[in-house]
Amino acid sequence: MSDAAGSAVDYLPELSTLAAVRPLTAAESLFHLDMPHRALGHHPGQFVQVSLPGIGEAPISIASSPTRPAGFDLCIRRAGNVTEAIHRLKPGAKIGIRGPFGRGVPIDDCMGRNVVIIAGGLGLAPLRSLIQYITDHRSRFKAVTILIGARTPETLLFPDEYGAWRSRDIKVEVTVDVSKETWLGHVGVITNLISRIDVDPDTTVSIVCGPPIMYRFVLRKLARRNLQNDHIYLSLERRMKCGMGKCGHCQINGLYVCLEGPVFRYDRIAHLPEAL
Amino acid sequence: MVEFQDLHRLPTFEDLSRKELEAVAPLCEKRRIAKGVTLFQEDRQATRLYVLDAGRIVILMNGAHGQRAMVYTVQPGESFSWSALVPPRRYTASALAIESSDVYEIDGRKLSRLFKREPALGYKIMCRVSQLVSKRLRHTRLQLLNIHDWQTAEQAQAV
Ligand SMILES: Cc1cc2nc3c(=O)[nH]c(=O)nc-3n(C[C@H](O)[C@H](O)[C@H](O)COP(=O)(O)OP(=O)(O)OC[C@H]3O[C@@H](n4cnc5c(N)ncnc54)[C@H](O)[C@@H]3O)c2cc1C
Ligand code: FES
Repeated sequence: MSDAAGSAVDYLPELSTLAAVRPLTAAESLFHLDMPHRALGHHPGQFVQVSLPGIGEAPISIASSPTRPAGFDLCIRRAGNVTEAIHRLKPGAKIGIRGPFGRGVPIDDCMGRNVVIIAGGLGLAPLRSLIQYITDHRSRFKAVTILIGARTPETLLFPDEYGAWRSRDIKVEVTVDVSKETWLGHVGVITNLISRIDVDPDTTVSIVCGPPIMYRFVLRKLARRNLQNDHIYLSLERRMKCGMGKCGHCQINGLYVCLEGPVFRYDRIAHLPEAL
Repeated sequence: MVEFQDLHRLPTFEDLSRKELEAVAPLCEKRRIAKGVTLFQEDRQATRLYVLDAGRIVILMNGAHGQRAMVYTVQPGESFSWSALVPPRRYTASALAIESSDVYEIDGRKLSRLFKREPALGYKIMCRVSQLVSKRLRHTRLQLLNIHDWQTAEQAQAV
């Protein structure tokens, strides 16, 4: 993890090689990158700054676990200049990487506890890193539940991996807003799934990542299940430039999301008017 | 035969006294619905109120070109098809069992007549039904807000 001061090295992108591209949905693909001289050395929930010369740079969460050898995954949605250009790249292309940056999920706080992971849309991308970590060290965690919400079955990320997660004694529940009749999962908003699961407030931690609107309703529902704010972690997304506490782009009420987040314990940000 | 104890554990009826539950129980029937069976169709006359006991029922709406879209999964304990209680008594959506399911089926007209005879009982059940309608409305609003996958208008256009 980078420190607050940021060394000169943190400003310099390292050139990684795009090893493979796997299309996931109409808008998102999974990019597997190899670093030339080192492992990325990240924690689940951290992000990297991804750059293409002459185009720009964008923060992207790391979508694979540090426990997986050889390279790392980024799940990227086509959203603008940089991400569109990355989607046009072919294997073998070079991509600039700075980082990893930020504070990820505090794995130690999850170990020995029940873990409820709640992902909306693209929020599953950073959480996949945590999920892979858990599947690789399953015995260190108690009951693990993953709740996933998406607009339609076609926009679900990583549906081909849910079977492998379930085979590691993980409960995976999926809901979509709307679907054709061929869908056998739930239909409706993700808060409905929270009503259906067992939550022991003393031994459960929840990690939530999704669009800002989802947080409001998910937090309300978790409170109704008596989960305390210090047992809930949220990943916040803010516009970023430097990724290392220098430019101030990512600030919310004096808090640097790129340094102190993107993953925050909810009781530490609940009082900040701009946080959610 | 449905006993008053069966009804008492369902959220729709949990406010009722024993006497009131005993008045409702004879109007109810428990049915097993096989997987794949459509319980009722959108726009048809709404005759029955249902409460899901176990299994999975989805609510579907007709699309513009004859295709049907699933919009809601009924949770066990929830009632659905409240159109059977209020004019014009037409189902506003269809219901399909996507798993073998157990439901309580209640004759809507008989229940309405019971409400007229026992308004206090009717008020309690209609309060529960209003909560259900309000929950569905909130749910639909969240779907409209794109709760699972928020994007700015620009982002949506970029894709
Ligand atoms: C910590 C973190 C992790 C992230 N992880 C991922 C990830 O795993 N996968 C992923 O796909 N995305 C992720 N993102 C989002 C991604 O960084 C943004 O979508 C980024 O803007 C894409 O860069 P771009 O150059 O392709 O698009 P941009 O050119 O930046 O445009 C993206 C959209 O934002 C609008 N926009 C650009 N600048 C501004 C501004 N200043 N104010 C308002 N709107 C603006 C544009 O009009 C456009 O609609 C993450 C963001 C953060 C902060
Ligand atoms: S992105 Fe520059 S300070 Fe956080």
